Amino acid sequence: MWRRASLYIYALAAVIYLTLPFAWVAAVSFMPEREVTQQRWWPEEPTIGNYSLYFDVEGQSADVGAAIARQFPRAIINSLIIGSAVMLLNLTCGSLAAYALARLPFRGNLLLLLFYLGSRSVPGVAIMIPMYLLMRSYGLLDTHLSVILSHTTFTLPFTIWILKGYFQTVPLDLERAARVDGCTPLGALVRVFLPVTTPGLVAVGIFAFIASWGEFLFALLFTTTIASRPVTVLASDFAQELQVPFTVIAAGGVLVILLPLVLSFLFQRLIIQGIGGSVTG
Amino acid sequence: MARVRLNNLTKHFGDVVAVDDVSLDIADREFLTLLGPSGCGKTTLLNMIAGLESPTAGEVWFDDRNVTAVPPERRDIAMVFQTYALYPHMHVFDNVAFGLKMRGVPAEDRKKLVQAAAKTMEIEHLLDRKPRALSGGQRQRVALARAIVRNPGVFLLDEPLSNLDAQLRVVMRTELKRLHGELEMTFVYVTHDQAESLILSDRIVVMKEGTIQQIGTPESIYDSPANTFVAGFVGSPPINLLKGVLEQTGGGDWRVVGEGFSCGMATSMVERMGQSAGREVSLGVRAEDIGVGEVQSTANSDSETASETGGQSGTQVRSVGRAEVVVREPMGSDLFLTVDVGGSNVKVRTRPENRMDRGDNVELYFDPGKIHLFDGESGEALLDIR
Repeated sequence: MWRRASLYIYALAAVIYLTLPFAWVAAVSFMPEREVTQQRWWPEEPTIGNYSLYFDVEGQSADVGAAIARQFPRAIINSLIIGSAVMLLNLTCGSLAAYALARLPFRGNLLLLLFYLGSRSVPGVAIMIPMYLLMRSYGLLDTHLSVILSHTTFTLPFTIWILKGYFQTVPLDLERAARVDGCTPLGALVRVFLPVTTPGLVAVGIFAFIASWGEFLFALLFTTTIASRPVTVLASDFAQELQVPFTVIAAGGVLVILLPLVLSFLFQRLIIQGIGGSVTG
Repeated sequence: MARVRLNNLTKHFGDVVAVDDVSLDIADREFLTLLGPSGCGKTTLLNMIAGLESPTAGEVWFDDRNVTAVPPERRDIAMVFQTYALYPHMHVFDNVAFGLKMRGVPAEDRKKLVQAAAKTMEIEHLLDRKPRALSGGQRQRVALARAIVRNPGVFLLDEPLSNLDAQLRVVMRTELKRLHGELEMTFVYVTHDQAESLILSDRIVVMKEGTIQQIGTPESIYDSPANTFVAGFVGSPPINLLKGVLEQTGGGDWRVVGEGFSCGMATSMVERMGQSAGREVSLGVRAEDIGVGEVQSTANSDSETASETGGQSGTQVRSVGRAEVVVREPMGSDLFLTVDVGGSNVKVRTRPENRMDRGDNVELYFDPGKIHLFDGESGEALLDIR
């Protein structure tokens, strides 16, 4: 009884600790500017005025921060392009690599896997300069591709690692049954293996997307104009304009976290299945 | 319908020889069982028939077609796996229909065929469920339906009953036998359960360490095991094996004499073996071929008549020695006694009315027509009783 109660209390504390900052940002984004200075927890007179700045693309608003806010939709599209490409690259390269590691016994497969994992432990800052020079020499600066490639570099090892473990829980007999039922090796992969492993694929796909969405360092380094700047980099511009009202920044913050939040909620069942679960015949 | 021939099949996994030069001719519509302990290569052999493993050497023939290099999807086979391997993302109907779909059978015909297979396996009410909503026995039926729906020439079964509980296993065993009677297919069945193999098979192939130990009908495997391995593996409880030496008495009679026993042999038998005195042998005798009797007070125990020798009452049988009862195990229809013969345990099956218990001394009788002699070194059978 007490065990159970303390467990609930602990869970509740964790929920408050994790969500309170976000909840407060969301609350502030609906406040008129003066309420923030009064240190309110909840908007007395809720307004969506803070958001209107962001969707006023053609607008003439001369408010402080309006120039940045106006670029938000474009930056969100940039982030979407980059995130989706990173997700697709992770799923195609990651699933093929993980399938090979999980199913084909070849010399040095453990070594390869450890190498992938080891590459994760190199801090981004350490390879920042070489990466920049590389991108410059290929003429990729200020393109989506430069950000996509760098994000894929960082997310792929994790994807392969998780998928390999997940793929190994798929009984080998399942593919064998598909072969006997008339599938070619590729047919068995497409018709049986991939549908069965959907939760794992969705989970790593969403992880890759969210990781890319939230990445800041390399995106800042490689992009200069709104042609390629993702939303995280754009949002940091607020920090340089001292006069931007906090309520407007909060609204921007909400816009940035909205999509990852929605994705996680939509797919939470599949994500949990994919990370913690296994496939059973 | 298909006759399956295996020519000198060999499979290596690295340094391990899983299957070693196996040749086998499986007749059309035969029920053939590959029997052996785990790791004996029986599943590898089955996978090579299916095309799921490619042999290191040797050939697989279906009728007049060399299928050694043909991938499984183009061999006319169906397979049932130990884990059932139902596709978890498909409903039962689609599971059963999958193979037909892959072979381009039109949707109309697919439906009819699936219905027919579902009827045979009595799973019509389960067609719109997902595999995870089924019990073990139901999954087994679905797996069987998926295999029979395509009407393949060769039906391969890899320990299909071993994941079921004991009661269900008996039911499904009967079901399999019925299926084999109804379908015109060649069944190749892999199991480590000797009882299953005896009940189901037309012929049994006993395997050990990648090689065939014996091929034969259940009766011949049981009655004339080729070596001590087969004798010990087939039959429950396992055959009793006693070490002894072949000796000739002054009167010219032959006996096998060992620690605590002395078993007479028919001279004709020994002559057929062409064996000389002094040879070391293993004497095998099954629990049901041993009789036990009260210890007689007369000193001349050689002339006693067994009153309880199974199936042999009335004939003159001499006691092979005295033994002490160690364990008494009543099993309802039978009573098993474990007796100590010169330090070796011997299992005896007797009638449940028998009141003998731990600590009693008994007289042992072996049915002379049912004893088996094996070479003491190699374990190979020395004579074919039949």
